[in-house]
Amino acid sequence: MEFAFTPTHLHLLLNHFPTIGFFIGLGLFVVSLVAKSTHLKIGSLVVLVGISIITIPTYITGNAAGDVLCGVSVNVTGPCRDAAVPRSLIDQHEGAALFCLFFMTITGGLAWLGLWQWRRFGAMAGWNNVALLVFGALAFLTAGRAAALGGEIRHPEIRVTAETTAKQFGRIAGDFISNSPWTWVASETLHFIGLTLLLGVLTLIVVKVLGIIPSITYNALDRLLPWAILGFGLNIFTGMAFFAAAPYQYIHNVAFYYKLAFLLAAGLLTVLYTFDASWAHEDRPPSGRSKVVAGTALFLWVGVMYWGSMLPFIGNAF
Amino acid sequence: MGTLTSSGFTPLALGSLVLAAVAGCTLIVVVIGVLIDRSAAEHERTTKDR
Repeated sequence: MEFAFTPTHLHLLLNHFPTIGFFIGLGLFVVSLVAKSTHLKIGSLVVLVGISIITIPTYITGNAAGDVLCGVSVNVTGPCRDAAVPRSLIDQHEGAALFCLFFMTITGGLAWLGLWQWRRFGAMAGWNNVALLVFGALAFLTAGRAAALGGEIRHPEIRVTAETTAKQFGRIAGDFISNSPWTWVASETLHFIGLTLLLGVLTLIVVKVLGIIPSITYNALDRLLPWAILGFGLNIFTGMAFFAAAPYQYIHNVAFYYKLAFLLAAGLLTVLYTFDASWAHEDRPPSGRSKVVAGTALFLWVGVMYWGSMLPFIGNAF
Repeated sequence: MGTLTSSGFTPLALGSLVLAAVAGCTLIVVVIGVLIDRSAAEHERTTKDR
């Protein structure tokens, strides 16, 4: 039996999550508001955070799949390798997916903040309920649009989108970042500011959990967590800006896939870590499990930085 | 990627543009962070008052 697993396979698997998974998460959130169910709301927030993290590899592997069908490397134009696939449809799908990723990231951030507020105050702030509904609806609409366009690529029987020669959003944004002399430099600087916020706060928490700085309270460190997540958000936006500007530098880059795997593991572990309050008790030492989780999270984040630095050396970027 | 030599910007103009973009985005992040923190402080104060 022959077996193959490529980024295209991964895209075909993952692309259902941002639509179906997100719909379930958002639906549960709405039901939790109507039913005034705290447990349902917490469950829905966890789903929304998880789906928003999964949207990142969905977008990235989509570019790899597009490259197999049409070649996205260095502004290739003309018909796709497979003549049955319209290039403009691939470009429209990518543009819609980039919009979706933007709104999905904001929604995921708000959902995480809701979990943090619930853990800290026992309730999610009212303004966050409204913001999550608004951005969740926008994310779902853009995910639906991206999914519809994606379905049309391989299903001519449902194709309603007309072919066009006009440049699509993904390439407009990508070319702007790629061709402007200041955007890449500014994004790179912001990427490091985000990294500093994220790793600075997380390292302090890990050091506290390991018992090295007992004088700083969990309460003070916990209050800093939103800054770490803001840094993470900044890194996702700037990282995706790099990717949209030069996808060909990443989709054939082994170091980038390692970075992505470490990022997903670190992101999901950090969500678990911030959701689980069992580590933050001043009156008793953290459990062995909390220490292992904290140490692993730090290892994974350092790994993300390592693979990012190795993009040009182990991989073929730049 | 666009380069300094091909961009038509003087180094000073380009540096100012990069600085303004970084400062602007950082300011947005700081404002959001401060608003979240103030909301948390307000919530904690209200909870304590009860």
